[in-house]
Order: sequence, then structure tokens, then C-alpha cells
Amino acid sequence: MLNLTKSTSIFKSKKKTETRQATAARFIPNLLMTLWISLSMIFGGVVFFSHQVSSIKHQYNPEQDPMGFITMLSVFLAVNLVMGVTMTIGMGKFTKTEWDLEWLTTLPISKPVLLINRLIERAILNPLYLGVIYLPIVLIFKNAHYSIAESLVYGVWTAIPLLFFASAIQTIIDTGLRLKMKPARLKNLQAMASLLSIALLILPQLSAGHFPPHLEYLKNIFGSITLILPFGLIPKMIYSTFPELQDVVLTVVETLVLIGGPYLLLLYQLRDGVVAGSGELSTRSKFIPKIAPSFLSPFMLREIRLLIRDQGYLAQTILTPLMVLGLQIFAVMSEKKIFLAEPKTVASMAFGMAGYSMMFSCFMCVVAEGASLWILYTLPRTLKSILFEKSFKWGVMALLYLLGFFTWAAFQMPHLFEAKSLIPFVLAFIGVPIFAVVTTSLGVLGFEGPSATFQKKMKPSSSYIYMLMMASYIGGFYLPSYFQTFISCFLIAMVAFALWQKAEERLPFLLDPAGMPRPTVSFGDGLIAAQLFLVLQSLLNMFMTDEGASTSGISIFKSFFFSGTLIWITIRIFYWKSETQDIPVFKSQKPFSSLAWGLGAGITGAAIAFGYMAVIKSHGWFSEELKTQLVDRDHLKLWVGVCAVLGAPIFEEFIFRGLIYRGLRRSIHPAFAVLISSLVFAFVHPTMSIIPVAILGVLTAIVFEVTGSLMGPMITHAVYNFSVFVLFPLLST
Amino acid sequence: MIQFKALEKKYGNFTALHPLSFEVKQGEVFGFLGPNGAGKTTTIRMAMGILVPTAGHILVDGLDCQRDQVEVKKRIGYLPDEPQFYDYLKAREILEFVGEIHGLSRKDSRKRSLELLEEFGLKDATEEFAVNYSMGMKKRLGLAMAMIHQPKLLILDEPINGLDPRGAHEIQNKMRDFANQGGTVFLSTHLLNLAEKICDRVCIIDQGKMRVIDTVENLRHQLLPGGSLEDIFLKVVES
Repeated sequence: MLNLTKSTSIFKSKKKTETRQATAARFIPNLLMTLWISLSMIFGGVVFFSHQVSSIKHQYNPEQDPMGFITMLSVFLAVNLVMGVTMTIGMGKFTKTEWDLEWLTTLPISKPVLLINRLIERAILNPLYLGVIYLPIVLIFKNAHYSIAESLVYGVWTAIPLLFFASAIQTIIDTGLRLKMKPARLKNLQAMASLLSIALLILPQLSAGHFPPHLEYLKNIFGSITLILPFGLIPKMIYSTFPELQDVVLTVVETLVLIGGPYLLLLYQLRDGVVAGSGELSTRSKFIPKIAPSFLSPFMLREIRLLIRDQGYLAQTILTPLMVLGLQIFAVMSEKKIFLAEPKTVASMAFGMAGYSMMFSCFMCVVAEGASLWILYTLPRTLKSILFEKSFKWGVMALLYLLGFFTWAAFQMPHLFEAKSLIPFVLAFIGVPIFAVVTTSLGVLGFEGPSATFQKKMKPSSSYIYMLMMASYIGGFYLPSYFQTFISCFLIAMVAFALWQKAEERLPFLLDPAGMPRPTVSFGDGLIAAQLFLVLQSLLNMFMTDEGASTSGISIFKSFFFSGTLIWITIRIFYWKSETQDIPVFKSQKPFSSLAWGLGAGITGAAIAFGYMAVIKSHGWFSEELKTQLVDRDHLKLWVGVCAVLGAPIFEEFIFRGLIYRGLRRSIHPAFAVLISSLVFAFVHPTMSIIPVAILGVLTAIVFEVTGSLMGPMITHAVYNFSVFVLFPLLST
Repeated sequence: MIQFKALEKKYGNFTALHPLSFEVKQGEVFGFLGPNGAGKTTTIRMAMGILVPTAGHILVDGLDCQRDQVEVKKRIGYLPDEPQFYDYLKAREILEFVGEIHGLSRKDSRKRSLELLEEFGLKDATEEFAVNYSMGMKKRLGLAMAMIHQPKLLILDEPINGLDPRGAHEIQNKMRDFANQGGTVFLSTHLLNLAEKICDRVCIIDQGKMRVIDTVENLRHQLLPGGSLEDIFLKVVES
């Protein structure tokens, strides 16, 4: 069910070609997905840039400080333009071995025409430029009280100078570099450009539309340059009732110069033809350095060398997270009292940074090997041990980021680190190895073949899962009790383990994905099913209950049975489609044995539960929870009893024993599988019942292991629930 | 030395390799021949653990290549058809890295790397980044990497593809010397003149099935007296 792998075979000739019908059938979903992504990005851009324009207007009132306002807008547009160019360069198309300009010049088109078309194409067809140049200009028009239609139309003409300027700069840079350098060397520059673009993206947001007071002189320097260029002339004309003729003429002349100049420079660059750079990353030195210290393992030594020499790798894995850390500290510094108010917030931010860094490091453990992955298969080490060593190293690096932030926070707010408030920090530390496992697993599951370069980032689906998990983990810091926090962290750790189980199964088939056997029931399937079962129940209850009213018994019954049935059907269909093996069955090959085991375990569990409830009643523990249990309205107890005796044994046994236990059993010792599955089962129940439910979980798992079908555990569960929900209350009264 | 026992590889309904069973003796130079797409590289990759067999086993020195991968790798040196190396590591560094993982100390690995680089004519390019090597240099570096830990078995996939005559000649000599010193060479190639020159025995596979296996002389005698290995190959494949 954790279908994060693409079923791409490296042996493409052996794969069936897709039928036209299949291609056509995928067209509409692909189109919808593209539309959805485009609309999301446009919406995101509008919100992002609107906020910046509003911040500038808030800091520099156009009525009181028109020059300051226009200056900041000019800086805003200039930064956006540079950001757009660096982001485009950071995408790395110019580092590819095949250079399109080389073969384009073989066409019967003159060089001037080719170059002009190239400039036009890049100016108007690069969605990034449209997003960071055209869109902000539209928003400036809108902010100047033009209508949406006027803003969109006038924005086109006004954005043209900057779009072409950006296109010209980009073309000069990538053409010039490509003529001089080999693609391998260009990757380092690409990495630097990528880093710069991130800084340019985040800094304006953090500055909230104004320069810090001690950097005000920079505003004056930038302003004096940008004001006389289209960056300043455009907003000046937008906010004028009647643009001055000199501004219009200056804009037109400068546009011609800003485009014509680079165009002539390009012609000059290509005067000798278009031949890709042959400057080599070469060092035919005779000097052999000393042997490295022995405490560095061979892999560690290799990684250090690669990091020092390959700035792209360095940027991706270390510099980007460091920059985010630095920017985060920069943002927090001005609002220390809010961001460093309590330990949970500090721990959340620190963990967020560590987790973010692992998205770029641990995730790349396999991808970073690139086309040299075959070398690992010649070594007398398992892939698993190599992966462990690499992700361990990156996990330690993430811990350093964590420590760095904690150290800085400790100096700012020493009182945060008192003994009684250390639990969030401990959880943040524990979270790092858990999420190192998650990212490494996602990296293995998302691996698409040795041709993938390390620049490849997480797939969006993997990113969403990862961010969701991080958010859930951090959400655990804010739960009312430490016990609930522990349960939340435990469940996240179980999801991490489930992901690793999938990744471990994928490892032998890393370069042979088409050779993977039919899937079997996995721990992850069970966790997803359990989560969906609980969430669906809650949602249905919410829909069926009037606002302000208490949940009725009939709605509990309906939501329980409907969600259980839906989950069961969905999983069966999914397993049928994916030809999953080893699906749990109800029918037993030895029904009488299953019946005996089921009854025996059920009675044992019930007896233990009776004893437990007698103890808690006599000590007065969980009195508040017990009080709510005594309330009976709308035959609540009747419906709950029906759910407990009929529904729970069917649906919960399918999920917790049939999927979760069976999935665990595949890769760990039965004793551990029993323990973990029973803990997961117990932790999704109310706190008061955790202990007896955990014991029930142990008993049902044992019955399932012994009898091999769900019949026995379902009987155990039914007997137990009947005793607890029906018999015990009757006997008590 | 190597035993292939009913080795099979399927992709869904497509059988890339039909059940294959044969043995390679110690000290042999064994030629594994076949046209493109016959299943040669598939077989070799299963021996290296890159691919997983659908059925059957490959045993090296009695050890299963899938189950006892770590032990098997200590005995094998492997050269793929197009070796690629880390962009930002020098040839010496790559050899040292592999040598250390194979159990050599850092000092011994350095010594052995320099010896091999000299032996394979790469002394002047010791401190050069492997990504800047020509194909011939990469093959030589790959072969040096395969031999750094003094394996018992060399598995070479198209070792002289893309080499100039001198480079090809050097590699052939290396293979022959290795076998003369007691090592086994399992060589996959579609260059029949190479196989005819240096192989003790050959196996011809086509469309995933083994057609013949014997010495070149015996095959000539049985199938095409006076014919070259190329003639024999064509006869077998086209029959």
C-alpha cells in the first residue's frame, strides 16, 4: 500500500509498450494534475508576493515617503529578477552533456535569428520568470488600485523589459559558461546559483519589507542604482497618475540597451561557432598526499573528499540546511520573545531544521552514488550496512544542527533549559534517528535507477508524506500529557519501521525493480488501515452529530461498521489488484482447534480484565473516564456493546492481527511482533484500557500465530469484549 | 569454481534466461558468448547480486551468490561493460577505497593501488580524476579495481569493447597471466576472435538458452571441421 516506487524497469526493452488506450486513459488525470499544480503555484505566488508588496507599503507609506516606497519596490523587483535568473540557472539544464545550441546551429537558421528567438523563448515561455517578474508587477498594479483586468493587461507591457533582461542575462551566463567549461565543473556553479536563489527567496520574506536599521545604507546604495533602471522606473510609472515622458523614454531606451547589449555580446561569444567547453577538471599532479588518519572509515573519507570537491553535493547536503538554519536564526532574532517563548517551540524549530536537512542528505544515500552504484555491488558489504553507515553519518550531522540551534537558544533564553522542561528537547533528539530511517527508506523506495543524479530531490509524494510525518511528530510535543506524547512518538516510530521494512524488501531489487516478487502483506499496510479506520470513524461521527450535541449510540454504530466495511473492501480490492500474497483469511483449516484456542484466550483475557477493572475501581483510578462510561443516553451502551462484540472482533482483528501482526512477523521474531502489534493495538484505545487491551493484543496474536487464521483471534476478541462491555457491567450492578 | 544450477530469470511472462546449468573449473579462462540480448549480462549481474534470479543458484567456491553475498564478493573481481566512476575521486582514491573495504589496511591499500596503477600503465594519471579517463583507461582502472584484493575469480563483461588494439592486447595478456597463476576468468564477450584466442572453453547462449559448451577445438571437430569460432557461432545461433 505504501506505493512509493515507480515500477520502472532498467531493462526497458523487456517492458511492454503502453497501449494507446492506456496513454489516452492517463491523459485526463495528467491534465488535471498539471492544472492543479499550476493553479496551486499561481495561488502560492500571489499570496507570497502580495504579502511582500503589502509589507513594503506598510513600512514605507507612499503618501509620506514616496521615494522610499518606490526605492523598495525597485529593490523588490531587482531581487526577484536575480532570483529568477539564479533559480533558472540552479535548475541545471545547462549542465547537461547534450547542449541544444550545438545542434540548433546546424539548422538552416542564421545565428542572429536563432539568438533572438532564444531570447524571446526564454523571456516569455519560462514559467519561473512569469512567476517572479510578471506576477509581482501585476500585483503592484493591483496595489495601485488598478482593476484585475487592467493589471493583467498593463502588466504584460510593463514586464517585457524585465523579462527580456532576465532572459538576456541567463543566456549570456549559461552560453558563456558552456563555451568555457565542462558540464562537471558547471554543476558546482549550478549549486551555488541554487543556494543563492533560496536566500533571495527567503530573505525578503524575513525582512518583512524593510531593511534592518543597521543595513539602511544598503537600501540607499541599491536604491540609487535601481531607481534609474527599469526596476525603479516601472513602479514609478505605475504609481504616477500620468507617467512622465522622460521616464517612458528612459525605460524604452534602457530596455533596448539592456537587451541589445547582451545580444551583441552573445554574438561575440559565438563568433567562433558553438562548441561545448573542453576545459577539464584536471589535475595531473605528481604529488601524492599523505595517508589519511585511520579513524576515518573508507566511506567517511570518500564522502569528505566528495563534499570538498563537489560543491553541488556540498550545497545540497550541508550548505542548504545551514543556510536555512542561519536564516531561521535571523528571523527568530527579531522576535525572540515569541519564537523562544517555551521549550516546545524551540524543540519544534530545532527538530524541523534537523528533519529538513535529512531530506537532502539521508534521502540521497542511494541516489548520491549515481552511475557508480555498481561499485557497491563489488564490495564485500551488504547494501544495508552501507546505507546504515551513510545515513548514520548524516543523522549525526542533523544532530549537530539540532545542537547548534539549542546552544544558540540556550544563550538567548537560559531559563528554557531547566530540568523539568527538557522532555521536548529529548524528543527532538530521539526524532532524528527515527526520521533518518524515514528519509533513507524514502530514498530507497523512490530510487529510479543509477542514471538519477544527486541533484534530484524528493518526489512530491515522498515530500508530502515526510512533511506530514514531521508535522505529526512535532504535534506530539503539544499533546496535553507526556504519556500521549510518548504514544504519538511511538506510533511515528512504528511508521518509520514500516517504511524501512518496505525499503529493505526493495534493496535486493534496487537495480532490478521488474524482478520484484508479488507483494505480501506489510506492517505499513496495517498502520495505514488502522489510521484510516480511526480517522474515518471520527469524520463520520462528526458528520452525523449535530453541532453542540453529544454523539449518539446509533451514529457510533453506523460510523464504526461503515468505516470498517469500507476499509476492508478497499484493502481487499487493493490486494487483489496488486496480486498481494499471504492475505489473512477467516476460514480455519482446523476450526475446532481455532474455536478452542479462541475461547480459551478470550476467557483468560476477560479474567485479567475483570481483575484489572476491580483494582482500578477499588483505588479510584481513572474515575473521570469511568464516569463518562456510566452515562447511557439514546441506548448508547447498547450500540457500543454491539460494536464491541460484533464489529470490533471482525474489523480490528483483520487490521491489527491480519495486517499489522502478519506484516511484522515477516521481518522480526514472533515475540517482538506480538509485543509491537499489541502495543500499537493498545495505544489506539483509551488510556484507561491500555493495559488489558495490550494483554488482549498479546493473546489474539498468539492465537493467530498458532491457528493461522483470523477465526481464533476474532473469537477471543468477541469473548473478551462481551465480558468487558456486557458481562462486567451486569455483574457490577 | 563456479556452478550455475538451473539459473533462471523471468520478467512477468518474458523469460530472459531459461534454466541454465553448467560449471566453470578453477584455472580456466571461460568464454560466455552470445549475440546481443542473449542473456550474458543478465547472467553476470545475477552472479554479482545486481539482479535476483527467479529460480536456481550460482555457487562460487560452494557459496551461494545471493545468500552468501559478502563472502562471495571477497572471492570475485568484477568489471562491467561500461564502468563509470565517481566524478570527483581520483583513480588512486577509488582503488584505495575499494582496497580498504576488501580488508586491506590503509597503508597496504595505498601501496597496492600504486603498484596496480603502474602495472596497468596508469602511473601518470594516478592523481587524475577518473571521470577524465578515456574508455581504455577506465577499463584498465576497472580491471585494477577488480584485482586489488587478489580474487580467485574475475568476472569480466565485454572487457575489451571500445579499446584500441594495444589496450585490448594488454587486457588479454592480463587475463591469461591471471589464469596461469591459478585464477579463473569468466569472460563475457561477443568478440569471437578474442574468445578463440584465449578461452579454454566457451559456452554459446542465444535467446536465454545455452546452445553449446565445450572447448573451441571440440566444437570445431563436432560442428564445423576447419571452421573458425565465428563460423561455429553463426551455425549454432542460426540453427
